[in-house]
Amino acid sequence: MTRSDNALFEPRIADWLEDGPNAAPEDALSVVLADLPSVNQRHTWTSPTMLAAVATAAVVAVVVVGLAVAITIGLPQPGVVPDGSVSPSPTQPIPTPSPSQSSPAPSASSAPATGTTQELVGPWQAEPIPLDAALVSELDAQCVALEFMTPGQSLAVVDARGEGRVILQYAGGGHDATCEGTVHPDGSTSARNIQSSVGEPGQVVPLAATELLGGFSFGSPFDAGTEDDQWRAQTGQAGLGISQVVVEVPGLASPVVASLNNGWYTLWWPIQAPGGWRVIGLDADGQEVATLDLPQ
Amino acid sequence: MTQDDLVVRAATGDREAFAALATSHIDGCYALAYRILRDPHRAQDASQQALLGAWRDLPRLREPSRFDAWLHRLVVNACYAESRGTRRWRSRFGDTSASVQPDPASAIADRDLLEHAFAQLSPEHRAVVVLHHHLGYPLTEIASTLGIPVGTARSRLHYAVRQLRTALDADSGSARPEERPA
Repeated sequence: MTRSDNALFEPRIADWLEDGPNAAPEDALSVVLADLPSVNQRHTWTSPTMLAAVATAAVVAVVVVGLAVAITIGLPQPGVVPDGSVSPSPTQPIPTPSPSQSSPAPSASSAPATGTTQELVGPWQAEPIPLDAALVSELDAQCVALEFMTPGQSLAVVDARGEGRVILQYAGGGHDATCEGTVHPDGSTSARNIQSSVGEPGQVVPLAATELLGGFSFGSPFDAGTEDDQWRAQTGQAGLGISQVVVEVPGLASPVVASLNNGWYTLWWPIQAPGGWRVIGLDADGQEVATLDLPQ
Repeated sequence: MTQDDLVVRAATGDREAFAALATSHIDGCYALAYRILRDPHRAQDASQQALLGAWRDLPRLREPSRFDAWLHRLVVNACYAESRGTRRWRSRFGDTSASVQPDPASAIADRDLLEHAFAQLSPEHRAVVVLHHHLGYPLTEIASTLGIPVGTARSRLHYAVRQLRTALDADSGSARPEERPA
């Protein structure tokens, strides 16, 4: 391909791009203006005095949080999963990764061991891997630092099931947000902004006890994934009468068990399933009480 | 009142000033987002997200005169986020007869060859193509707007145009002899 070839070709691109709407739909502006009151402005503090005050406050906060963690976790005990975390989310409910939102808190003797780095970066599995609270806190902090969530949102549920992928679902203030964390083979972590529902009013709604809602789906190839990187994730809401959420994905031998907490479920699977997938809600007795075929 | 005046006032929390800015820019935001995403619903989402982000972060914009470029950057970033996922809310569980929303991926597949080839590009490459070939941004302005090195902008544009040409050539069976494998 030569430069002259491109000189002939590129005007075709410009002409093609010229075709298309130049005006937003009529309701687009009203949605933005209606949502303004729910979005607080962020100010940059540049005063040296204020920066010094912030730095001092940060040091104090780190010390206080560190002491709190030490008190909460206490001495390490084999097989014990800390049931709290020190997430810097605005409000912190229960970021405990669990496939069930109604089961009692695990005792020291029954709590599952948290996943090792090797497991977290290992092959995908159909059931979630329990996460260490410190790792959740670390990923949460990175997601919060991306500053795409609105005030009042906090971590609702976390899902990890191999290949280094960790999905963190946030909710609060009538909106939700999704962050994708990555655990690297060397144990380091990173995070990226996936979505925030701000601008889409009414996305988070009250549910009946046995109601399921499909929320947000993402994955490659929307994420510029390659043919070797096919995966799809699904997040959504589940009524508090639903004890477990599983998803049947054509092409997978067995249902995928979602992570479920605080009325939110999330999971991912390693194929695209273009024909869709079925989300199933089970009650405490294992009875199917809700189904949802996605995408509709 | 000039745009810079509106930006300064909006940055201090003046919603009326921001409403005036949003009113004058939402069409441009939508047009840019549509050309990157090629989907009207996602373009609307992205333009709304960008404007809400602008309201949120406007106090951090140090140069009011850079508002246009800054807003374009927010639109492009919102398009990246939109490209990563699809939102599919349903009214009730188990109601498989609920309203059907088109899958943006399948909608793209029905477009003409250029549309199809464009859809194969990553959002980052699409953004550079649109900024350059639609808005007429030079590479330096693209780099400044997107916060990337000029070399990165250049390579993305080169790669994207090459991919579009290759896809069209392959699809139309018009590959030139020197491009065929030996």
